[in-house]
Amino acid sequence: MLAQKKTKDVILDALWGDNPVFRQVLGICSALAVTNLVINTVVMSVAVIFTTALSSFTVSLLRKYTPRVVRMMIETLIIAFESVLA
Amino acid sequence: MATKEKTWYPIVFMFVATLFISTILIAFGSFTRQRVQDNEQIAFERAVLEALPIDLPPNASPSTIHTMYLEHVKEASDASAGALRYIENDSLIAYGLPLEGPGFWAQIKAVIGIAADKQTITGISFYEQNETPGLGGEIVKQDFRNQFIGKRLADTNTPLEIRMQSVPLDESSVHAITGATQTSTRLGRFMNEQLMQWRDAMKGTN
Repeated sequence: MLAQKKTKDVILDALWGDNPVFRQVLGICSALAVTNLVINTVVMSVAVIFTTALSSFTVSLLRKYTPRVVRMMIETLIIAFESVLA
Repeated sequence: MATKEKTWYPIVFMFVATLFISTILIAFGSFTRQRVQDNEQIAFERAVLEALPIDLPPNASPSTIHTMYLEHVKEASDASAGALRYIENDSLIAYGLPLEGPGFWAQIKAVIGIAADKQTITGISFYEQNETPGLGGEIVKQDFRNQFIGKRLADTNTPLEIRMQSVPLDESSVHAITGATQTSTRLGRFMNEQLMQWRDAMKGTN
């Protein structure tokens, strides 16, 4: 029950409470300029979901093995790699 | 002392991670190279067909585009001064002149169609650009490109002028994109340089 509530909260937060575009003002240029067509919006949304989900997953997998001093570089490397793949 | 805390560990970890990711990307790049080249060729062929007075179906498949290109477009010759030729029933209908130059962010590549009279523009199409989406990137839109159709190359140092929206047009000018002054200026600069070169070279062939 607790896990379900948490999942629901995470999803709702991502949609509204902590939405990257509306609340964090991240990716606002891309959102305004590139998403001029529905198809562009759909493709971009899928690419963003793929990149954020896979990079979070990969960073979590390597968390215990990543040295503290290069953590930022490894995270940047992983996100860049998965952005290229997307 | 745990392995993770040793001095060499971050260096080796970073090296292995970079090597692993680079290997995947290089392999991915080589695996898709042929497809990328094929797509670039189709984009070029589409641009040529769009610039010339040829009815290209809006959702034409890559194979249709390639077939139509081979059927209608002949390679450049000395007599065409580097422009591709659109020939129908053994008579020359138009030239397709490839243009290339620096945009605001990266190279812009286009093809401009010029009728057999060497003056009337039949169209323009862009097959490579990385201008700002929503601003300079609007050069690929029909609204901008349609302005070129029917314009005539002026016998001046600016055969086809790109003017600000507030300046009235004549038969040898089109309007720039509002908010994309740099893209419009740079496009105008290299387009006119190359059109002048072509015009001069074509005078030499007569």
